[in-house]
Amino acid sequence: MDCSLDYIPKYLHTNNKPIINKFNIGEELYFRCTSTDCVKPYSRKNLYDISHNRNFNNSEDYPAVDVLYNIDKDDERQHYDDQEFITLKIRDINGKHTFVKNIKSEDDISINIQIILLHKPVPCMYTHSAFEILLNNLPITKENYNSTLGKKNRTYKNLRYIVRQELSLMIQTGIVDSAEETLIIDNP
Amino acid sequence: MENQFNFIKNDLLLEQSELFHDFYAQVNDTFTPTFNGGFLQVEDWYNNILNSNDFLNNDQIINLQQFFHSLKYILRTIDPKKLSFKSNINEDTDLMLWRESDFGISKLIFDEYGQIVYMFNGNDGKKVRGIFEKNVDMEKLLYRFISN
Repeated sequence: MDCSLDYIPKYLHTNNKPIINKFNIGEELYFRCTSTDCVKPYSRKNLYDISHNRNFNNSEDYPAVDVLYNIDKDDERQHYDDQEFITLKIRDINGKHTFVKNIKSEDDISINIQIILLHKPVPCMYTHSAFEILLNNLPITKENYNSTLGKKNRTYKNLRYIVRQELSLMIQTGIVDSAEETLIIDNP
Repeated sequence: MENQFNFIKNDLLLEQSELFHDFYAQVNDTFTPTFNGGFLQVEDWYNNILNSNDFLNNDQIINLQQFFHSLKYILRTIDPKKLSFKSNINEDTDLMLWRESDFGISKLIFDEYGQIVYMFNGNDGKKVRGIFEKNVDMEKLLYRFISN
């Protein structure tokens, strides 16, 4: 589908450009901050729709401010002038083609979470990417959140702690690093 | 009555000022949602948290009582700069206390299931996490919370 928003520069139109699955060390991601996302202590409320823009290691052709374009055609604003953005830099992807973090539930070994950075172009934003959260391979969305990762029990609450810690650390440090392990303590 | 209260207050301040005289000499007895390390603020801060977070269940209140008991116990020996805590509500059910230092952000969450969750995110990328039950040694946990 073509981009129908004429204020979006042509270079951001996806048209038939390919999905680039590989992310590179040093590549920057731009995250537009809404509500409390970029306010300390960075405890993200929603664990879905974690969109970023990527820059393909080329900040001249794909500048950070592009992330402030509004690509929702049902919203008249062209820019999110009231919002800001932060920059994340990929430091380590553990020898893989993108950031991947695998998490096992400590309460139920049949449950696993994967956080993966994906290039997900949309018609008016070729650079659109997202940290997708998968629960036993099922992508978490706004629609299924309450019946999946958002379930109200201790097991899922503890999983949400882990996911939030991973995401909040990225915002806090500006670094994307899948090699950094968490020190788990059993005794204070 | 007022004189008696002032006497008690001054006595407490004198005790507390043994180690951190300059700081505690300036403490007043007004409270804010943020705790800044004053001995006289502890009770007010605790009461304020209870009053303004009516979602807290019995387990959370018991855990918080233990936390505040430990806090009062260690207060005289800790640099007040380490005792600047803020509070947030998570998921409409959990109370989070957090503090920031030059090294990163420490969080302590009192959740609806009676768990006490410690997390530290370092500015250098370091991550530490522990999920504890109500029988945890709260004093040790408090020391860990303020140690980074």
